[in-house]
Amino acid sequence: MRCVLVVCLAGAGLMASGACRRETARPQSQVSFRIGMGLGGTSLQSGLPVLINMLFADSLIAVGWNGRPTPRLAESWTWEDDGRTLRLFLRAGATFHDGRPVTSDEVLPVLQRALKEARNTDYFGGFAYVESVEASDDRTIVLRLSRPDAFLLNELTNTTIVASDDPNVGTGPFRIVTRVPHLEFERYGRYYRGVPAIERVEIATYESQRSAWAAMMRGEVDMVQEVARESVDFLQGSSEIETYSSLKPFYIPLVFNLRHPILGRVEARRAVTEAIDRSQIVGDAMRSHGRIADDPVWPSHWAYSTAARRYTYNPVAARLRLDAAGLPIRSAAPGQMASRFHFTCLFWSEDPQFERIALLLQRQLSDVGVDMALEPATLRNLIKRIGANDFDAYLFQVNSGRSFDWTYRYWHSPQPGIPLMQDSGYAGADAILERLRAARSDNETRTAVADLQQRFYEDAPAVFLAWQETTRAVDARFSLGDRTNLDIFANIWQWRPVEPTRRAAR
Amino acid sequence: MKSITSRFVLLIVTAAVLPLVLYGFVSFRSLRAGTEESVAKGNLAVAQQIAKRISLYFENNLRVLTSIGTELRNTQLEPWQQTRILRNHVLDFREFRHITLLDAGGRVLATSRIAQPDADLADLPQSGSAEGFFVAPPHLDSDSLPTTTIAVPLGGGLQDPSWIVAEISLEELWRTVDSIHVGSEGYALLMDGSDTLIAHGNPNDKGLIASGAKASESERRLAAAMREGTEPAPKKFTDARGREILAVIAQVSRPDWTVIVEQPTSEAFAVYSELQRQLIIAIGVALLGTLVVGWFWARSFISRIFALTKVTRAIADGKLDARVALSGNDEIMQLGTAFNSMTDRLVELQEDVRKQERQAMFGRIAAGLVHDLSHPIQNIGNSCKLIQKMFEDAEYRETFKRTVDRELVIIKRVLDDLRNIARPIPLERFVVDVNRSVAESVEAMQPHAETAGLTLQTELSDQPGYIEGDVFALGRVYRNLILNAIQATAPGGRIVVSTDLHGDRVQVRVDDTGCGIPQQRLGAIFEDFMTTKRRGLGLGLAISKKIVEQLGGNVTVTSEVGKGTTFVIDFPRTRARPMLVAG
Repeated sequence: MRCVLVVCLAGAGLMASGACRRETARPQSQVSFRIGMGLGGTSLQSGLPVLINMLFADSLIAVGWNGRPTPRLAESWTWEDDGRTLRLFLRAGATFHDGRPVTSDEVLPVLQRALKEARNTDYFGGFAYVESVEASDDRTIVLRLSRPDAFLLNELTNTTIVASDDPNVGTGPFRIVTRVPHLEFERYGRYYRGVPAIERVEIATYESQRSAWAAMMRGEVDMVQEVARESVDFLQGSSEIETYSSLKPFYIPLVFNLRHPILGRVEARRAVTEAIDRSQIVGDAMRSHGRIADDPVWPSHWAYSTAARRYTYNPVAARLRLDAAGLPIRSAAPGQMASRFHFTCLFWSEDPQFERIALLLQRQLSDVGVDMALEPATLRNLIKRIGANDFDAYLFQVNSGRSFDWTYRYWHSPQPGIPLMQDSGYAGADAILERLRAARSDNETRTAVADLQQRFYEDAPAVFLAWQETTRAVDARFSLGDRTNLDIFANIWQWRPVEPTRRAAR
Repeated sequence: MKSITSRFVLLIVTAAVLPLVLYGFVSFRSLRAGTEESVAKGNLAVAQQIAKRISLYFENNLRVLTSIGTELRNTQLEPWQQTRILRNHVLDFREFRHITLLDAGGRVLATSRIAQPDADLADLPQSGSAEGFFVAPPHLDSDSLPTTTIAVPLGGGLQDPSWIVAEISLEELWRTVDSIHVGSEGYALLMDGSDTLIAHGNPNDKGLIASGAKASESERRLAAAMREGTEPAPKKFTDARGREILAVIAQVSRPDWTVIVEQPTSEAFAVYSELQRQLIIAIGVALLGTLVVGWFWARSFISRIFALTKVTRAIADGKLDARVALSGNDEIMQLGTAFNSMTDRLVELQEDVRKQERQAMFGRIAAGLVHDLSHPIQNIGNSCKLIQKMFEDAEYRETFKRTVDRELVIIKRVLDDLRNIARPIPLERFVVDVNRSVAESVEAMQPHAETAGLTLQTELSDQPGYIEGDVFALGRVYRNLILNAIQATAPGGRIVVSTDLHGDRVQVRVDDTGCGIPQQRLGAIFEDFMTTKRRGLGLGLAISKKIVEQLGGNVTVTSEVGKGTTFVIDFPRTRARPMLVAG
């Protein structure tokens, strides 16, 4: 009798188990990491040197997402002598990749060489007012300046510490294994901020961003440095690739040549600014992968003033302002549209985004009676014509950094020691930019930034259209850890392989 | 009896569960077939819907382009105005990257492009399609997004056409395919006439698009069947991830593209699987429940039969007070009641039999006593009467004394027999030679045998057979057996008393050539008051058997009616020897 029961129950159990679903496990993750970099094409910069520095060599000071300098190899610093002496205290325990400790004797030649190289160019940058660099003891570096310079700290963030006698010996989380056929790094086990979880990093370079992207689609690389705006949507829903978008310190301005008879007039520039619908620019031309810009100040900077006045899209006000400025719509010659005034805008033709922005701007300005002709230009030609003051207006992307030295360089009128980025005839912000550079306290900086934003509102040399967004794609097998710095590159040494169970959950 | 229970359960299983299982099996098959057909139809409807939307997408773009072209050709607009119109359309219709108006010679009349149009646009009119527009094979743009070029002939006919050509981003089309979710894991994919993937709804397979891959072999076969004009049946295949996929296909009317909707069967048939699981559980529970209920029901049913059997066995073992207690009000209950009534009646009958037996025994004892005691008493009485007359005769007085003593011995013996039945004779054990005791007894009974006209003889073993026994008790046993033989044997007959040694046993046999004892009475001849004779108490054999058993031996009898009877007494031998002999 019991046998009958056992057989029946076993049969029922077998049938029930047959109805169960099975799942297969994914393979184990790897601890080597491959980065795909697009070098050619239309990119202004490939980002490769920046990436290499992030992996290979640390600087004395880093700049945070909010623009604040943060300690790296220098664990602290002090300003002395009314801002004319900067004393840097090196971190104990930091070593070069060959095991040597990072001491003043090792760092000093690096800084001296950087200072020398800066003086050999026409751009001194943050080193412009540095008179001397010396080591006061084993862990203290002293920089003496002829006058206070707030940009010096930012300049130090760009100066990576590499052994003065061997350029292959750095101080970052990864050390170079080989440079050919492609860059290959291995983790540095004595990295002072912690041992990286990823054991090896390879950087594969491709002719273009698209090639790198295709390589990632084929599974050849684990990360692409930058994904095109349009391709981000393409990846939505993928469980194998994660995308990380963040604002990048580049903005797109429509810059005017103030020597133009009409564009040199403040009222005309204001009217043009009011006639432009920047939300349409961001939403349509940039597919919402950006943010409206009001000025060239990094919007996440700690000193950024949210109370600053801003222009809003108001074509009616723009027409009234142009009428008041004595710029009515005049009849046109045959083959031309009737307009208030005419100017030609150069735009970067190699990036399709700029053509679409230019078309939108053309239509929006046409709506208020401004005839903006469009002239495509390659990157090389564009830079050449901007530098030669050969333009009425141009549409381009400008680096702001997360500090103010780039803003200073771009919008300050030409002067010795500062290379000519452009010559639009604008000098309206020079005094404020000088105050910003000489600021020695948070209050002075905050006040100068607010004044700068106000200045760009009252007398703007350009229409600041949008901040660009960058998107990086990373294989979902890697976890990025701490993301207080929204640019994921900043903490690449903290990335680690995701456990299979977590990957499955994702 | 357990097998009956098992049979009951099997009967229940066969009668109740087997049909259920068969029903379930048939249901599974019907359910699966129905589910597969239903899912395939549903997915096919989705695929056809997508194909229809794609066709509408192109038709709409065709209408827009035709409208733009007609507007530009039929109005006297300035070139800059035509350019602005084209650019406005490019800005307003997101899918149009560029729009260009060409004359019959391929010369650009107006374009939305700021830079010069791509040179290959001039080649498009020569590839004109009779269907009214031309769609170039899709390609990936610099952002890896699918793009194609569509050319629409305007007035002038195919002989002298002017064309409006647009580069179209297929992003919206791609989004259409992407937005299709069949269940949570099903998706759609779109491929062109050369089986190159244009859109893939599975996010993890979009790398195939970026690398310009073609569809899988299974998908290509499905598409080939579609192009051959046959309505392809839903196809199942295993994809690169090892999942079984259900695929259906639909044709886009224009252009010649195909839409395939794929869904893992694990999800497509999840409803069926769930129903199957529930059905299996239901059948399992029903099976288990039926078995359990059947088990307990059979137990309750069979247990009453078990109880009846148990009481029957008890009664057979003589426990007449046993009764069966059954519950219920059915045939089994009636059987139990009848059984108890029958047992009650059996007890009454047994009491009657015992009563009759007691009465018979009492009569037999009384008759035996009368027989055994009346003669000596009568002799004593007669002697007493004579002594009164012949008291002076000294010789008679001596005779009187002997007669009375003799008769008193007889009376005493009868009374001793009665007492011995009630209380066993205390025996005094000594080492006894069986041959000797037998010889003495035979010698003492010789006169009785001669009086009856019989031959009484002995056949003793060569060696003495020593046992531990009571000489007088043994003599009584031998005398009883010999006397029985004498009484049962007709004159001229023969009685042999023999001894024999068998290992550690000594046997005494009494054989006669008498009338024999019927087989049915053999078993009772050693019982008290059991006799085959017309007179006597019938205690002789019973007393003999008790004496033999008291001495550690046993007595058996074999008999054949008309031929004679044999009693065999078997004693254990002893190693001891009589004191006299040892001395």
